[in-house]
Amino acid sequence: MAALRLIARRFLQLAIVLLLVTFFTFSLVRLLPGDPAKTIIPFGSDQQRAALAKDLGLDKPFLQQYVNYLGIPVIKSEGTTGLLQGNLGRKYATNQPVGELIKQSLPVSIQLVIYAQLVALALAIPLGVLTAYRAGTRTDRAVNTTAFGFLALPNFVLALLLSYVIGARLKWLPTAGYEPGWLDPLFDSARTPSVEHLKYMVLPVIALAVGQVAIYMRLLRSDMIATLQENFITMAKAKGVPNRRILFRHALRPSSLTLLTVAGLNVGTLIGGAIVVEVIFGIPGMGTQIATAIAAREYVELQSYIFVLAFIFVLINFAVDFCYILLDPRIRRARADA
Amino acid sequence: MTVPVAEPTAEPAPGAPLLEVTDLTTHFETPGGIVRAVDGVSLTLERGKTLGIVGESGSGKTVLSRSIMGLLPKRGTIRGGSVRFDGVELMTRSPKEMRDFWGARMAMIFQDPMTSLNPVMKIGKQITESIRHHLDVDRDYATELAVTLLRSVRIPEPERRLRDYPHQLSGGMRQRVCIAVAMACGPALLFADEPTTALDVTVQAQVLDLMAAQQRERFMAIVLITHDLGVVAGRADEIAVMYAGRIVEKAPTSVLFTQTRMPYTKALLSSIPKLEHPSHSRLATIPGRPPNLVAPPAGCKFAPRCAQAQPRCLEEDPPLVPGSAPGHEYRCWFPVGTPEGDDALARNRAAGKTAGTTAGGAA
Ligand SMILES: Nc1ncnc2c1ncn2[C@@H]1O[C@H](COP(=O)(O)OP(=O)(O)OP(=O)(O)O)[C@@H](O)[C@H]1O
Ligand code: SF4
Ligand SMILES: [Mg+2]
Repeated sequence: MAALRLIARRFLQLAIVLLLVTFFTFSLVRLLPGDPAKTIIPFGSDQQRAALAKDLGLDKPFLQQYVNYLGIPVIKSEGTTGLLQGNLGRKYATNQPVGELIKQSLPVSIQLVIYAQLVALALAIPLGVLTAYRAGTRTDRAVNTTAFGFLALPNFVLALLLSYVIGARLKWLPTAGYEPGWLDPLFDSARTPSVEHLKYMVLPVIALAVGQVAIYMRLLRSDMIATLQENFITMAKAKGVPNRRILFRHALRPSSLTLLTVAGLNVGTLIGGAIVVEVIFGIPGMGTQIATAIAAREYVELQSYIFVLAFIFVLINFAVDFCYILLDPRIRRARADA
Repeated sequence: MTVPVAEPTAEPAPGAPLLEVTDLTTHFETPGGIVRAVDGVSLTLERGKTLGIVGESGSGKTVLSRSIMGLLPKRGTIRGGSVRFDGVELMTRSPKEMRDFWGARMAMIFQDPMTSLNPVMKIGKQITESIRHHLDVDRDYATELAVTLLRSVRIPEPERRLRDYPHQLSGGMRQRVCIAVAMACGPALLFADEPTTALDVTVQAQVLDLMAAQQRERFMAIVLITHDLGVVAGRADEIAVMYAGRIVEKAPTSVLFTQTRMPYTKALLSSIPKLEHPSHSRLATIPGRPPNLVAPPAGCKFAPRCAQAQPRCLEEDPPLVPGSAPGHEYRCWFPVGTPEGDDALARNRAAGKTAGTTAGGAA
């Protein structure tokens, strides 16, 4: 019962968040200088452009455009299509449905972000545990300094560096391009996964993940140091439990709540980073699409991309909330009581 | 169902006591200086016996027990002296080697059952974990053993409790689980560090009785640590009183109560709540605070608070000397119940001050 109420409350929050997100992106996108008609027919006459703008619905007042985009039936309800009806709109220039474009590009970005998150955590968790266990020693300082060095390195610099050294000079890995992976066929059955996929992902994933390692590691380290002072750790030690087991079985789980929260929120940062990294490595994901949509002033396309990303971001953070319950049985009761 | 016992890891020396601690020191390096938390403690404990360790907060009881078990972190800790367990020297053993002793041959129960169980691990797992680690048994057998253990500490519906998390149990129940965890591999020696301090008065006696029952059944030795002489009065064979990291008086229980020599012990005795007193009557607490363990006073460490303190006490550190009864030792220049002590007390009363308080102004 309590869980159902929690879910209901979460979905209400989701609706509010998405309403705000759509409104802000809608307004911001329209603050971009330039206009779509001009980019579509750069050499057309003013009349041609005005006709095109009318066609695209760009002549209507701002609020009406917004209401139409959302798909809220106001006066004449027949033919209203928008987000509410699951319609993400069409690209001005080619009239392609944005939904189709997303089917192609979203799985690419999702895979990139998932890999980056997994790699960052796979490095940060053992390092966080190690530096907590060896807090104050030379190992601790060395690991921390290195991780912070990488944190200070912007991901686009790292991306360019990797692309140049490992891609262009050493020719170990491709510098650009993409092959479908395991997720792409789920969105578009015409695509078949290829083993080459991983080859194309290595450098972008490294560029994206490395900066996050220091953040995750530090969080885990400080929570872990606190946990290692707990009585139950001394108790586990007094039982003769080996160190490795104390660290990973007894201390890690109670120390990982902050890490989990931040890893969820950090998906936002990763998505932002993915835009840059995709452009540098020529990966046809959401990032590349967003960059071109901005350049072409494709208002609707851009709004829908951001809407979809925001939707995913919020959903992930709800999932994080539910993961708390799995990690800490005490929260189970506290949440149920709330 | 019989509970298997972990194999001894070395040949016991015949006739050796179970635990023999000689001149154990444990100092901590801190930014403020070296904390002499344990400063030259010697004690012995025979199989099946109970040693009570009594002292105020900060006297070093917890550090002593953890130092004997070798549980203190290596970094910043300086240990000296000798700890022989079953004839085997433990001081020179690495934590890795100690793991064969921890949980298997010596176990510990902690003060606060609320924090000494892992909050995110099921009770069952916390019990079977050490069984599976120390005894070569499969999971089903370990679970069966855990149920038997929970039943032996009188936890109702033990099969169901195995799947509970600690927060689902009351404090008293949790401490029983801790006892079950400690008993899991049938240790020869149990350290109980204030096992009932955090519990309700009504539950305290139950938990202590439970420990005593386990002790009889397993012929286990117990080091029972408390700040309350009343707790150990009826349960310990011998009592050691600790002050500022040292044993200041040690005697078989009845001797300690009848032939008290050390003024600190006497003060502790008068702070035991008596049955004839109404329950809300205030305990006589000892005025003053324990000394700074970084720069302890030169002479007797208790001098600043001692009613009998004389100038000599400020200069010379009293050594442990034997009392008249066998096994009785104490540190005091002017022992209670002797002409010297009575004299000293009378002199201080007449003067309206002690040598300690005069010097205490500077301390
Ligand atoms: N890791 C440490 N570093 C520095 N000082 C410490 C450390 N552990 C304990 N001490 C100090 O050692 C002294 C003895 O502490 P200990 O915990 O053994 O006292 P205790 O007799 O168990 O007291 P309580 O009844 O409060 O449990 C205290 O002054 C304490 O501050
Ligand atoms: S009489 Fe002197 S030696 Fe004895 S306890 Fe008091 S101060 Fe210490
Ligand atoms: Mg203590």
